[in-house]
Amino acid sequence: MRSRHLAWLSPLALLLAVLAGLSLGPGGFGWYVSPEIASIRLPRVLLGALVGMGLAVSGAALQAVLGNALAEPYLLGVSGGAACGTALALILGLSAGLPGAFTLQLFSFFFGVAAIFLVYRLARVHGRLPSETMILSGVVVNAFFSGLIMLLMSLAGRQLQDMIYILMGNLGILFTRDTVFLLAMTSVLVAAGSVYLWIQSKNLNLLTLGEAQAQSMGVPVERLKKTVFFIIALMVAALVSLAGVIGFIGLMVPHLGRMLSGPDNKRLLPVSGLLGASLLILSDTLARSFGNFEIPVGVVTALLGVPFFIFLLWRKKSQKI
Amino acid sequence: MIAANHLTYRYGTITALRDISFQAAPGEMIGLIGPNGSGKSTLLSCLAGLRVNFSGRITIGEKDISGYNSQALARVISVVFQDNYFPFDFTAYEIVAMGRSPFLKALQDETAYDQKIIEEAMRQSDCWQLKDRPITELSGGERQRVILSRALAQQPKVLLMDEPTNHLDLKHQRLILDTARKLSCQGGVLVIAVLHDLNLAASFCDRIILLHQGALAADDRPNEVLSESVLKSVYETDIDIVLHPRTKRPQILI
Repeated sequence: MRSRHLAWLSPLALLLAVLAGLSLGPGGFGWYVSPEIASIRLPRVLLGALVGMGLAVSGAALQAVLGNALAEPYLLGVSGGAACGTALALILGLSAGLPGAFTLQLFSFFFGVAAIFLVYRLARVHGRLPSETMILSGVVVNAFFSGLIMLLMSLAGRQLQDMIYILMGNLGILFTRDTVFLLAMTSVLVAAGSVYLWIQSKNLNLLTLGEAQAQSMGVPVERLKKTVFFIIALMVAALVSLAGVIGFIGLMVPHLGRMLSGPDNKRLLPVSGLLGASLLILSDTLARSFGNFEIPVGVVTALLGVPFFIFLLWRKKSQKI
Repeated sequence: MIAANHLTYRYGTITALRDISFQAAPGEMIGLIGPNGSGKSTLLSCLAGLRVNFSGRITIGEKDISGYNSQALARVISVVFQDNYFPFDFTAYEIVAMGRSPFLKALQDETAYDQKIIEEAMRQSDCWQLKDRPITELSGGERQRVILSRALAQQPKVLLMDEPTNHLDLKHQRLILDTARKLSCQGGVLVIAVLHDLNLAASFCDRIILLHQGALAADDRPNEVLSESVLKSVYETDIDIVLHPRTKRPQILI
């Protein structure tokens, strides 16, 4: 299956996803049922678009840098750090505390940033950043923070339900002065990061052939790798602090993107961004469409992701025969 | 074109290259031979600018190699690597086009001029007909032709090749080395190729550099380097040498 000229489907997908996200859900059908309903749905659609786009673009870029289609942004260990920050803030009761309603998100973001530096210090070998040690330290740091999260969960008591909801992915926000500020800051970060990665798309293509190969074709490999890792890590820290750990988008969407546009990152990154936004908006719409019961959106993306990978595996097997 | 002066390279406690000096001029085709672990690939990657913490000096053209940034170096030297790995299904054309990137700005597409160079590079190593095929679906010989075209698309003044004929059948061994030879004879390109197959080195190169335990053991014409006494001591095994009936170049028999 090699169709490289279907990139135009991705903006269409986003349009449909936004319409679906605004029109569906408990509270009635229609893209503007009432001001109350719109004020619930619109922020979710916006946050879904932001998080979905950021994760998908990060995933596609990381897969290029590591030359591995199984890489995903949570590999860098940052998500564990940010999630642990969220859990700790919940236990300490910071969510309702002073000075602003976004203390929880800030706490989570700073834990994510701390995790970046931890991974970087562990991974560095003589000033270089070999991909293998980067992945290994990411895995170790993630494991460490997962352990801490479990510890916090076992101490959580009545807050356990809240904690699970936030950590497994939650796009439920309402517009307040604080959340609008947070959304704006994160949008700037994700937009700047995505544009940087897109500008580097040719170098990312070369990196898929290997680091020595890319270097021999003029790519300043060490500098580029460090910058790309750092930018992806910052984006992931910000996104996890806002929406929890939503899995599979960063892994699955770049594969979908390659089916539509081919592997050239100049097309793949924008297409992945649009598809990631669409997929997360749709997943969230699905997550809140079961009457008065809301499923964490991370559960939906995982349930969608697994059949998708079984399909990929099946296709790969049938090609080999 | 390239000069190495007292080049020494150490990994930890191992000395991979010791005190290597030689000069190579445009238009030469040099075979780099030696037993496993003798430092051939290490020497090649030092010359390619991929290893920088050596002692001694490498000059490319008039300038010390440290005076080039990676883009400037990529406009002079291109490399055909031994191991190539393609995780994504770029087409053969897209892979060759990547060789133009040291000449293009960040988001710039290939110009008509670049496209002409890409086509020419693909025709030179006989793979233009593969241009729309995904690299992941090509055979070993087809891939190697695409990889060579990619290196040619860089329009190098120096072409470095690390065992370019590995795993290839006779037809492709000849095709790859003929293309390189034509490039050096007609295009004035300096070609340095690591070759495991001594007979190929003898047939296609005019000069052979023999490495032994990281040091330069011989640097001369094939008929001088490939002698029974030299090879027996370096490779530590019995061999016989005959002359090729047509070219009169030495051929080694085990």
